[in-house]
Formats: sequence, C-alpha cells, structure tokens
Amino acid sequence: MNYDINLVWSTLVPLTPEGMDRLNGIVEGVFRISKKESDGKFYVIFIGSATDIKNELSLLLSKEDSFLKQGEFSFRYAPIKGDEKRKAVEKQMYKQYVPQYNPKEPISPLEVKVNLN
Amino acid sequence: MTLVIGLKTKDGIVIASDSQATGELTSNDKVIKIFSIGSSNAVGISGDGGLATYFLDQIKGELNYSQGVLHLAEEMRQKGKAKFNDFFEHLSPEKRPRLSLILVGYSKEETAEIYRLESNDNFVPRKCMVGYECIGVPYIADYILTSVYETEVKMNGVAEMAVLCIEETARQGGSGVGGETKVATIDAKNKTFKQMPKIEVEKMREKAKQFHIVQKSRFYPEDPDSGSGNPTV
Repeated sequence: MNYDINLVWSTLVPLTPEGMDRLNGIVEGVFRISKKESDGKFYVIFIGSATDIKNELSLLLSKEDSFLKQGEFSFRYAPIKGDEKRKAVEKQMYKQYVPQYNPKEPISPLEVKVNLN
Repeated sequence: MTLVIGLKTKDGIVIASDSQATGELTSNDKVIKIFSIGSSNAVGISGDGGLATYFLDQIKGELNYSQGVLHLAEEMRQKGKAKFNDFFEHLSPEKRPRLSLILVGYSKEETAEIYRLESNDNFVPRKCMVGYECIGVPYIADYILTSVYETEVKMNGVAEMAVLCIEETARQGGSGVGGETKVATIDAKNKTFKQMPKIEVEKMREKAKQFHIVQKSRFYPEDPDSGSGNPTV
C-alpha cells in the first residue's frame, strides 16, 4: 500500500519507568497505549501525540484518576515532526482504533494515509 | 432514495427525514418529505416525490382530522386505493409507481401511534408494534434502532437517534440518502406538530459524527513482533 507518510514505529514497550527509559532524550511524535486483555493480547485504549512523548506518558501515569492504574499496559511510538502532521496521524489512529479513553476524534484539516505498524 | 423514520417516545412523537431526491439525470437535496396533516398528525413519504406530493394534495382536503390517527389511517387507505386505481388504471399493479407512507399521530384515546402504508399493498395500514418505523432505505436505521431504542426515551433523545440513523445511512454512500435532515415533533401535551429549528438539527448532526462502534480496537490487537528497537524520523 502507498502511504503519504511512512512512519518507523517502535516495538511494543512495557509502560513502566524502565520501558519509558528506552526513549532516548526528547522524542517528538505519536504514540498509542494498549492494555493486556484476558486473551493475552494487547488492545489499543488510548492514542496521543506530543512534543515530548516520555513526558506525556509520565503525566498520564501520574494522574490520580489515571486509566492506567489497574492492569498491564504497553505503548508504541513513532517519531514525527510538526504539529499538523502529528494531529493528522492521530486522527487516522483514532479512526482505526476508536480507543476507549479518547473522548473524541482529534481535529485535523489533513487527511493522510499512514502506516500504523 | 429516502429515509423517513417515525418514533414514539414517552413525551411525544418524532418524525425525521433526509431531503435528497435523485432523478434519472438530476438530483436535488432540498426536497420536503414530511408534511403535517392537521395540527396533530404528520405523514412522511418515500417513493416518487412528485407523485407523493400530488397524491397528498389530492386527499388532504378530504380527510377528517378530528377522529384520531386510527380513523385517519383508514381514510388514507380508502382514498389511497381509490386514487391509485384512478391514476394508474392503465397499469397492472406490479407496474405502478410505488409509494410508502409513515403516518404518525394520536388516537382518540390520546395514545401515540405510527402506521405504515404501502401503495403496492393497497395502502392497508400496518400498525407499528416496536415503537418506530422506517421507510425508504431502512437497513442501517433498523440496525441502529434495534440496539439503542427504548420506549422510555424522550423526544430529544429520539430525535438524536433519528439524525444519527440518517447521517450513518448517508455516510455509507450509494444509498441516495442525504441533504438537509428535517426533524418534526408532536408533543404529547399539546398535540401540536412542530418543525425542529435547523440549528438544533445541525447540533445533532455534529454529535452524530462522533458516533463509532465501541471497542473497534478489539479487531486490531497489537502485533508483538513488529516495530523497530530504535525508531527515527
């Protein structure tokens, strides 16, 4: 398939302080968080983008009422520069996964085709 | 094509439609498909729009609105059958144009009722048994309403459901459903037909755009073997 943007995605990383340390320095890009279900597979429950992914994940983990308090989670990320592009990728990810903890579709004027794996 | 939906609620009746009409060469997205019949009944039409409008113009003046919607349904059956036999006596029944009607209103006992009448069935009224009725392209609406409609719903909630059904049907493409969405209500208290303001319907359309199948992600588990250990831009 031809994509407008070709992203290089990370492997699936445990969402733990050690896992997040695999992000070297400040990484700007998109990410998605998945939760391990009873069948042993990880399913996407949240998608996002940030200028500093590690910082954003830490914030999500530290919230009092975080949806990440119970269960086993992992994340995957892809570096991408530029707010417009990030939002467009976020929008496409939202459409594919309709994640449980994203209240609504991200707004982006761009429609892009991008690899999600 | 068309989608018209009539729904009963705890506090009234809602009837909604799209406004797209498609001819052999042209299409128009401003077609009226819902009409008030007296002050407390309404009819929605699907089929040949020009014929439906003329047909209604012909019979409206002859109808007795004061006896409740059951009486009205029977009058429409008799007049519908007579008019169609008159209009199309040169055509065998299976070759005649087809009209579908949804009739909504209150009975003499003040119960909300919905009837469906089909020209190819001599306009014999079918009383709605589940609380809602769809004509035109009903498949997606039937699917959605089977999942979300409950008789305890109120008019505003059901109006949102109807708008969602029309939006989703239009979004699938190829259905011929589209244009402005029209919503009208007949409230149980005053039994008065009212068109919902365009701005209200637009808000409902925006809300409907946020509708998604929950847990879609269950079809896309993460692949534990994919990805790079050192992703770069």
